[in-house]
Amino acid sequence: MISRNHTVLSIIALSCLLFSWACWAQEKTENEPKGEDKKEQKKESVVDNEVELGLYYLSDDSFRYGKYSGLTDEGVYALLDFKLEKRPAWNSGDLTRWRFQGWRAGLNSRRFVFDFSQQGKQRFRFDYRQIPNNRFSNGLTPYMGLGGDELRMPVGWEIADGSNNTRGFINLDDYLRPYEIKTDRKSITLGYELKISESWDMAIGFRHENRDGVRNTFGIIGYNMTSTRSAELIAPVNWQTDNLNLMFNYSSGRARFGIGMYASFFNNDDTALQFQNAFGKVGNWEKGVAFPDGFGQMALEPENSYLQFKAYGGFIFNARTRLTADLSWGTMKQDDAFLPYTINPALRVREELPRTNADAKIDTLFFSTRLTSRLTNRLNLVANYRYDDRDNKTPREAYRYIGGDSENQKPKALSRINLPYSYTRQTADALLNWSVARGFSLKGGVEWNDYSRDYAEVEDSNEWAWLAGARLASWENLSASIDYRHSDRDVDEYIGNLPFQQSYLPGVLPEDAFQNHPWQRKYNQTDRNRDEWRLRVDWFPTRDFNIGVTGSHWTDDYGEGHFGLNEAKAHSWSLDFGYRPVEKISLSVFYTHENWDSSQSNRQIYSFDPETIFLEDRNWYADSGDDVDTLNFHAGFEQLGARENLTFGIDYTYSYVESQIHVTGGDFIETAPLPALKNKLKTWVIYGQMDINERSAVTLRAESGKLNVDDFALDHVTQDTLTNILTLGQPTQDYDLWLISASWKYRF
Amino acid sequence: MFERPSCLSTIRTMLVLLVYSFFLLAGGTALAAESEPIEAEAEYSRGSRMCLACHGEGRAQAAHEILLSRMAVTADPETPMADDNHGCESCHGPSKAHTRKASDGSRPSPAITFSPGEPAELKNSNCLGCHDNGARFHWMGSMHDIQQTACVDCHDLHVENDPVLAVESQPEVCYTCHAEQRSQFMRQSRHPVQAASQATSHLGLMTCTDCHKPHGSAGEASLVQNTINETCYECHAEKRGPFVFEHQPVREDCSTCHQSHGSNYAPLLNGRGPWLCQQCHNAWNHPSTAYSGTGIPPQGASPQVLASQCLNCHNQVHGSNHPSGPGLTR
Repeated sequence: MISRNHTVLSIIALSCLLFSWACWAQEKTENEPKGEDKKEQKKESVVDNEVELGLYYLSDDSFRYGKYSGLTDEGVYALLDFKLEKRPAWNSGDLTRWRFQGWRAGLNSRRFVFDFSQQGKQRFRFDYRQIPNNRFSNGLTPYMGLGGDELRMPVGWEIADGSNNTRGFINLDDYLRPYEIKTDRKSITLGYELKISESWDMAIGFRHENRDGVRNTFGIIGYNMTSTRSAELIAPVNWQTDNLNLMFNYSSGRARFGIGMYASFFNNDDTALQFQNAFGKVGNWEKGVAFPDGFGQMALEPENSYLQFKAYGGFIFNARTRLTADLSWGTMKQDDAFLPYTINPALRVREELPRTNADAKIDTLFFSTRLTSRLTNRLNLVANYRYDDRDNKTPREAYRYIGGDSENQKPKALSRINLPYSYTRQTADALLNWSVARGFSLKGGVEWNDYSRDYAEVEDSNEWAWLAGARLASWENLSASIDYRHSDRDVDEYIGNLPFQQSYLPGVLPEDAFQNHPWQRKYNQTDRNRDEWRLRVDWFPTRDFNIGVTGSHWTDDYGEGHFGLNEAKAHSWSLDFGYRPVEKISLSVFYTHENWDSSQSNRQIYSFDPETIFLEDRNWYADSGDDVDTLNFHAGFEQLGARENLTFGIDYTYSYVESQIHVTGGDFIETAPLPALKNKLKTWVIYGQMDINERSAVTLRAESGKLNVDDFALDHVTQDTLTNILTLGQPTQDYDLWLISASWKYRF
Repeated sequence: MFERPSCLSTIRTMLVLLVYSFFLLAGGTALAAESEPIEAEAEYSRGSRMCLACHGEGRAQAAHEILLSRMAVTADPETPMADDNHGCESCHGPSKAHTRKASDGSRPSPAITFSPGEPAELKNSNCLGCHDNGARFHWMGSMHDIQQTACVDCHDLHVENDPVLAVESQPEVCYTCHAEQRSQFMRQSRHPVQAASQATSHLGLMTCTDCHKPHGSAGEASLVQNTINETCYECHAEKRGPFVFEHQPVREDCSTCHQSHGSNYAPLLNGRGPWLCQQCHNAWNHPSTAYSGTGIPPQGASPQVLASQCLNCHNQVHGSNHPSGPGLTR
């Protein structure tokens, strides 16, 4: 299916591009100036090209520093930025302009954009983007075959007699070797817009993306908490995504409408990841599961597609009132062939798969409409309604599964049935904005949000909100606004064990059997009161001085008397300051402080001791808090020196995040403090440019970056710290380095 | 039982009253000082050349660079500078009076100055006179429209390249108002949108408009697609599925677990596992167990607290297509 769709997609894209090129060629011939006219217009065209050529020098290795830039290894890199441009002089009579621009051409975070247009007629755009994601390079693994879809333990891998955990890996250290966990996205986007007539235009966009590399994941062997062993694996990433957008738009007089389509196809070169079990035999594993015979297999991301048709329309009744509507309907599909229940031939499979693939399908329907009306000269109304339906039509089947490639097939009664979640969401809101006076307005409104779900704990939830705000912009040099919103979500009866029961064959479980504690409430499906404040003041006492303050606060109250998230709140405030004491000097500062807090409660319960669900001394509580401070200071100086040919600037950024998690509990619960999670980043940038003449300049730039991260989940955790999990053991990635660049800019 | 208000709540109440008082006073002042709307001058001046005589290079409020922009291409009949249009006054309104001083020596302003004190609706109505189609179809009633954002608050027309349309400078324009997002893009786990103005690392690699339509859209938060998930699938199509075994909140809304701009918890999570997962899951045994400092070295080594926490086993948290994967482990 996917390949057929691909062919169709390619034909559509190619046809559109050929069509656009033909149009352009035709236009070009018709508009080609003749003789003297041509000479005159050529003179009038402006060519503006700029090339910056130089070198970067990075003082130390750091995957973290170069996560998105590609500047990961100590050494020298090429610096190449350029802009080649031709545009018509304003009164030349010419409409054609193009620009070809490139950023970081010497790094693997390069981007090239080519933009060609005949203004008011057509436009073509090419965009090549390369986005690296260098995650970490300090993980170590004994697995062989890295980057492929079959991972094996090295020849000579030994396990101590009778051992079934990481302590028994006799020669682990001998085989550990590093592997870089990174992916590289390369995308090409082609866009074309054509004004077909006075009223019609079309736009087509096509994007092809390759994402290659590896990611870390975990493969498990075993089927319950005591028998499960896991290994951190390196999974291949060989993904391709194709997206196509096509729209035809009509606009004339009072009417606006458009029709179009969106298609997206995801392909994966790898369907599964096989891995050899590194662990010795656990008591209840079947024969042939442990090292060296045992293998595990996990499914990788399945190929899928999404096809959507879109239409929109609007009508301007008069200068005061307009109505718009959007409609989209589509289908998401996925029919990759299933992997077998187990890869391990030693395990007994009594019953075959109920089907060869999931035949997964979700029909989507989205409708929205908006009415905007200027009821009076001072009163505006905006009303919206949205309907969003996801109808999951994936067939439900009982899968008689095998836990972690380690046991014989489950008894039929323990088969699990998939739950194809569907939902319908409706929202509506109405907002009135009253211009009390010039520059002073008040607003107020109501919002409604309704969710209907299946295979969920709550069938229907309903949320009402009201909001109010004021805005002041009465003077040239001051503006301020304040907004408040309160919402109240009410849900139907919460049946905590409903999805759990629905995932088993009817009659298998007792009616009151549950998985989560009966008092558990999932925070996206429970009653909630939310209060939000937002304040903003901007003051411009002079043209050269501005100061702005922004503050916001919100609280989510989920109530007490249940387990789960009980409260979450956050506040943030920012200060912006800008000052230009003289024309050649600019100063700016911004500071932001944010605080996030949440409180949750829970009860420790054990299946082997069901009475624990009633015992309050098993209760425990976790309070989490994040404090985030961000500061930036910048000073820029231009036209310095006798020849006024020097530019100089300094920039400092400081970002500090501290997260605390406090866990406390009843008498039965033993807890100990957790260290804070910290992240401190300091960056200094000093840069200068000297203009040699009108065409060329030299620039120097030095950046000092320093990152310190404290993370208890990674610090001091090696490959065998966890007894039942073989990890990559990568520590946090701090850095303290310099990036120095020197370049020459030339304009021609 | 009546409880005495705490000192903090008294301060908070006073602060709220103070803010309200400010708005009432300021609003009253504005109401009292309200004047009749500016009546546009009926006459146009002699055109853009005359305007640029005073607003040319090196002058205060220089606007000459507009001649380098798309707005000034005379061959396009839809631009302000086209022969049949009124040049600068196509946008600024008929402003002949501005070309000469009044009897008291003052110089009347152009009909529309696009200054901060002018109502956004007045300023925008001029822009929408020509740009009320295509990407602006959803402008009326969009979040920026409701917040009374003027087109010129984001767009700079008097320059060759409008900074908000250039990939390398767009985020800085957005941060002017969206300070929280700027801070979020400086966190350790984030999308690669440039947050520090002078850092070279990934300038222009990703921009705000990759996910958002600032002129409004049919979906929430002015996203490029109808829903949050559909927007995320644009670049993360591998998570679209549908999978045979799904995770309910994942199918519904990525932001249930993720913060799209940036987070202190990789990958872009709202919190740290296992506690984030335990906000919804407290099944028998390990999902309901209290995890704390007892699970980290040297006190202990808990697989739920260290490395990738719950994902050490339940790594297929976005959905599994393995017929033996109901626990999202395969």
